[in-house]
Amino acid sequence: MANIALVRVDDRLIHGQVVVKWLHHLGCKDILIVDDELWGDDFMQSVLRLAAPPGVRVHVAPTQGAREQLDRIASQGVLVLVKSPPTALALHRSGVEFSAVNVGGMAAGPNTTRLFKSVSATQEQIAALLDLQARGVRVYFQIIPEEHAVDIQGLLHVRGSVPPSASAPAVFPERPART
Amino acid sequence: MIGILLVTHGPMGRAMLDSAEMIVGKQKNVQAVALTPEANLDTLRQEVKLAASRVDAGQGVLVLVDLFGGTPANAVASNLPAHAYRCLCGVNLPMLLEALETRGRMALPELAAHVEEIACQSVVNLNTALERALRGDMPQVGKR
Repeated sequence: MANIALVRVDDRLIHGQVVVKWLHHLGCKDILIVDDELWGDDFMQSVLRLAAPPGVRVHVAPTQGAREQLDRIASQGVLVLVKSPPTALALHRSGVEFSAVNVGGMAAGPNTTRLFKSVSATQEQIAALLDLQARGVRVYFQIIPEEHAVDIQGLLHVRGSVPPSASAPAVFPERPART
Repeated sequence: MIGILLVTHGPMGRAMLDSAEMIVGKQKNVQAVALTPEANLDTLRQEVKLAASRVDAGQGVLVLVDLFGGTPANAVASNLPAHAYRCLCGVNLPMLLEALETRGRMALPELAAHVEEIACQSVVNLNTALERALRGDMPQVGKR
């Protein structure tokens, strides 16, 4: 299996932050997007391939085919992108090995709670992050590499998403930073 | 009149439009859509679609985007097959001014080609241009 450089949850997939910041930081030449919807959408696949810088290969796989796809990528470092935590959890369950998940961007929507800067999540998404953590995967929030990573421990308590300290004040920066 | 739509990371499009209007006056059928930190590809896609239909007076829309490969460009790209829009990435003020000034004189494909040409001429090394001018060799730059 190809070596995974980073697993990132980012609902914009390939965009400015990923291209300008993370790819440079990691030195990756391969991106694997794991997304069932995108897998069936040839046009959006083309759009995202176009968005990657020259020399970077973009691979797309359905959740259940990701492991085989990773086996086929001959690369020392693959940036794995998923839109939502349940996909990351499904990947881990399917036997794809990774020790950490970077949560970098999830838009607010109906029934979401803001967890960190530009990261909002539904209860289902939070549950998937906690499941990953319970499986021994480090879950941390970090929009760009220059920022300090903030681990999920404490954060959910502070945000009141997890009992018991629901009344604790928010201590994380309120101003979102995302490009 | 061809509609003009700016789609950018944050307030750049709106600000660029304000700056352009300082030079060429208040404009019609122009709008700026900002990607906010809270938005994602799908929400921006919907916003772009709505804004483009608002500025479209029947002659089509020229969409100007800040950064190729960014979410604004991706959102516009995902709308392109369904709509007869033209889109240029890497917008700067000379491009916007040229688009606003010439959009009444040509059809959309020609306007897009023309603005693209202006874009390529619009980045000028002032030192080099001055050195050439001082040698009596007039710099070959865009009209503006």
